[in-house]
Amino acid sequence: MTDDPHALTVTDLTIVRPDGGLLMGDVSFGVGPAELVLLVGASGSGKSTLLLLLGGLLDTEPGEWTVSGRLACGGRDIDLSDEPSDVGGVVFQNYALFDDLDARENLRIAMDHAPPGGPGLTEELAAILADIDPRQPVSACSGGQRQRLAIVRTVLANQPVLLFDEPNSGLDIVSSRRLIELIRRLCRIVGKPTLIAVHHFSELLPLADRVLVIDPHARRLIEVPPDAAAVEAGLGAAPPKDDAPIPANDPEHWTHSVDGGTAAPWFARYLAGYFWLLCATPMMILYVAAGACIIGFVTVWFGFNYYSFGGLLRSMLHDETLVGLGAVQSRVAIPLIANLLFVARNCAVIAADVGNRAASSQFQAMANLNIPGRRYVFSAILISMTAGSLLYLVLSLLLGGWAAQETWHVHFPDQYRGLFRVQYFRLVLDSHGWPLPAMGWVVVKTTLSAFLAGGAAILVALGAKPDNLTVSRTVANAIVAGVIVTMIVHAAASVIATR
Amino acid sequence: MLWIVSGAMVTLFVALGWSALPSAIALQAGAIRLQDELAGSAPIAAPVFVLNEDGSALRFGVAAMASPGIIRVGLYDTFEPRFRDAKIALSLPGDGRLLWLLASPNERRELREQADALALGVSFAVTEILRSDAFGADYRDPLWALLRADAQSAWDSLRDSPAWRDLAHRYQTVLRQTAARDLQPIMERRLQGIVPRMLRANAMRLVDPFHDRTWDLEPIEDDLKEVLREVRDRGLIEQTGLQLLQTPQTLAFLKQFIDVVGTTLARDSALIELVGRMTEDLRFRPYTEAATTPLLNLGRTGARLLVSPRADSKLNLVAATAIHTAIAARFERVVVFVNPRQRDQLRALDPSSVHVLRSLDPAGF
Repeated sequence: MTDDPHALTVTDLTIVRPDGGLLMGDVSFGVGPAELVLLVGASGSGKSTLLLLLGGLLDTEPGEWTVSGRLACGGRDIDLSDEPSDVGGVVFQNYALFDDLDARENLRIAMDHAPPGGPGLTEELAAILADIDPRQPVSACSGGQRQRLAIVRTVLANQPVLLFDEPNSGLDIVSSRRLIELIRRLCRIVGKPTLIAVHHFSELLPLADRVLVIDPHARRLIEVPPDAAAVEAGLGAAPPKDDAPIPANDPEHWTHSVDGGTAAPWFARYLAGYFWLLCATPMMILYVAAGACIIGFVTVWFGFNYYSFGGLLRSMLHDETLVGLGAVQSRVAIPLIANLLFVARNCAVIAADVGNRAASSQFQAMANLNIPGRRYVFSAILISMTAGSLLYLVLSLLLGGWAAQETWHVHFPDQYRGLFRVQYFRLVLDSHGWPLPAMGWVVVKTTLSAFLAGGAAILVALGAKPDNLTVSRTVANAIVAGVIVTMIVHAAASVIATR
Repeated sequence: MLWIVSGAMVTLFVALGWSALPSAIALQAGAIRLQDELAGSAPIAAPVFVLNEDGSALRFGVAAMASPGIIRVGLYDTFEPRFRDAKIALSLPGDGRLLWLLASPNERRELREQADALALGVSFAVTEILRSDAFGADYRDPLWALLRADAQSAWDSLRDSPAWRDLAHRYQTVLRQTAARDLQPIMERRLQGIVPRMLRANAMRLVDPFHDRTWDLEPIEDDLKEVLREVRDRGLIEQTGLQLLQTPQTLAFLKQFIDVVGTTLARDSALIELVGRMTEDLRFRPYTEAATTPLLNLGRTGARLLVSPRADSKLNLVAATAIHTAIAARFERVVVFVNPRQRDQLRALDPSSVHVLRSLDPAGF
C-alpha cells in the first residue's frame, strides 16, 4: 500500500450479498499509481462485484448489497457503508458503447462530462483509434475497435482509477496479450492505478505488476507473485499478429474531432435524437397522416351514405350533420386515433431502446462516466412524446379535416367547399379562426396521455430488464400499457369536458 | 436527407389541411355590404344562394347582420363564373314561399295544375256533403249553431276593440262625405218642387172639414223613388261599399276578426268533436274521395318538385332552409343572387315578397 494521493487504498472491506451471504470479509488492498493489478478469481467469486463497487455502480439500497469498509483515493477518504465510491472508471465486458452516438460522440460525451483536468485525447490515445473513422457508427465497428473505443472513453472520463471487467473474455491468447499491452501502455501514459478483473489470466501475467486472487473459501484477497503462471511464458514469445501497421487514419482526425466542450449540449443532442426517432421520421409522419385521413374519409363517407330517408332527410340534416361530424372528429375521433397510433408505435420504440440500453449496460456506463444518462434519456423521451403528440394533434386535425372535406366534395360535387368549412368547424373554431375553449381539453388529453404512455413504456422496459429472449414480450407489454393509459385518459377527459 | 423528406411531408400535409380551414367570410374586408330595410335588429346568420340559369339554387355564402338594416354577405367563391351574371341581390322570405319562388316555371305550372284539381275536388266534395241527407239530418243544425255562436263570441270580443272603433269612425267619415258630396245634390234636385206638388195634391184635404186629414204622400214617394233610381243608376251604393271595404281600417279589422274567429273555432271542443264525427262518418266517404286523390297527387308532386333533391344533386338546401324556418323560425329572410331576367320573373311572381337589396359599396360588387 502507499500514501500517494493517486493510489487506491481499500481497508476492511466487507461485502454481503442481497440474500445475506458473505461475498468478501475484511479485505484490504492497495494499488499504486501507474500500477497494473490483476484481480483473479473463479466465476461468481466477486471480481465484477468488486469492480462495480469501486465504480460506484453497486446497488446498496436497502434490501440489496451491504458494504462496509473504507476507501482512500485521489485525496478522498470514503466510508463505503455511507457513501458510494465514484473513483473508478469501468470498461465493461460488453463495452456498453452508446449505439445512438457515433464513435467520435462516444468519446466526446465522456470528455464533456469528465471532471476537469483530464488528459484529453492525446496523440497516444488517438493512435489507438487510428483505424476508426471518427464518424463511424459504433454498430459498424469491429469487436476490437469497439473494445478500444470503450477503453479510450473510460480514460477520457478522467476517473482516478481504471477498472477493466473481463477484458479478455472471448479473446484468443494473442489478442489477449495485445490487449494487456495496450492497457499496460495506457496505464503508464495516464499514471493511474489499474485493476483488471479476469478469469483467464495466464496470458496477462507477464505484464501485470501484481496479482490478487480471491480465495473462495476464506472470502479474502490473497496477493501472489505475477510469475505464478510460468507455463504460459512460451506462448508470450509468439509475435503478435497486430504488429502489422494499423490502417491509416490520421490520428489528428481524432484529436481535432474530440475537442473538449461542455455537458450542456448533450441533452439537446439526446432530445434531438429522440425527437427524430419518436416524432420526425418520414414513416412516422406517413403513418399518423394516413390514420387521420382514413378517419376523415370514413366518418364523412359513411355518415352521409347511410341516411335511411334519402334525399329529404339528408338535405334537412346536412348542415347539422357536418357540425356534429366536425365536433366528433375534431374533439374525439381524430385526437384519439392519432394519439393511439403515436403512442403504440412509440411505446414499442421506447421499450426496445430503453431495454437495449439497460441490457447492454449503457445506463451503468453512463453513470460510471458521470453522464446523467437516465435523466438525459428519460427527459428527452418524455419531452419528445409530449411535444410530438401536440404537433401530431395539429397535423392530424388539419389533415383529417381536409380528408373529410374532399370526401364530402366527392359526395356532393355540385356544392362549394366553403359550405363544408363553415359548418364542419362551427364547434371547433370561433369566427376569427381560433380554437374554441373546448379544444383545450383535446390538448390536455392528448399531451397527458402521451406523457403517461411514454412513462409507462420506460417503466415496463426498465422493470422487465429485458434480454434477447424477453424483448418481444417487453415491447408488447409497453404497447399495451401505453394504449390502455391513452384510452383511459381520453375517455376520462372526454367525459369531464362534456359535463 | 430524411430530414428533408420529413420536412416536405409536413409542409405538404399542413398546406392541405390549411386549405380546408374556414375563414370568416362574412366578416372579411371583401364581404359585400347590402342595405336591407326588412332586416331587423336581431343578429342573423342567413344562408345565401345563387340562382343558376336552369332555376336551381346553390348555397353560395353566408349573410350576417352588420348593423340594423345593413347586412354583410361573404361568398364562398367570388371568382365563380355564375356570379358574373347574377349580380343582383334579392331578399326573399325564408319560409315556404321560398320554395315557390325558387321553383322553375315548369314546376310551378305542374303544381298549379295539381292545386286546381285539388280545389275542384274539394269544392265538389263540400258541395255534395252539404247537400247530402246525412248532413242535413245529423250535422247541419248543430254545425250552424256552433258557427254562429263562435262568430258571435268573436264579434262580442271585438266590439270594444280599437280596431272596431277605428273602423266605425272611418265609416262615419266616409258616409258623411258620400252623403254631402253625392246624395245631397240628388236629393236637392229631386225634391226641389216637392212643396208645391204636395200642396196641390193635398189642397182639398186642407180645406175639407168633413173628412179625416190623411195626407197624400204620393209626390214624396215618387220623388224618393226617383232619388233611389238615380242612386242605383249612378252606382253610388257599390262605390260607397267599395270605398268602405278599401279602407285600411276594414282590412285591419277583418284580419283581426278572422284571427279571432279562427282561434275561437280552433278552441271550440264541441266543434272539433262534431267535425271529427263527420270525418269518420262513412256516409261521407264517397264524396271525400273526390278530394283525396288530388290531395295525394299534390303532396307527391310538391315533395318531388320542391323538397326532394334535383336529379343532378344529392341535396336540396332551399327546401332544408324553408323547412328549418317552418319548424323553428330559423331564417326570417335569405339572400339570393340573380340576374336581371330572374329578378323580373320573381318580382312578377310575388311583388310583396321580393326585395332588391342595394349595395352600399360605391363600386358595387
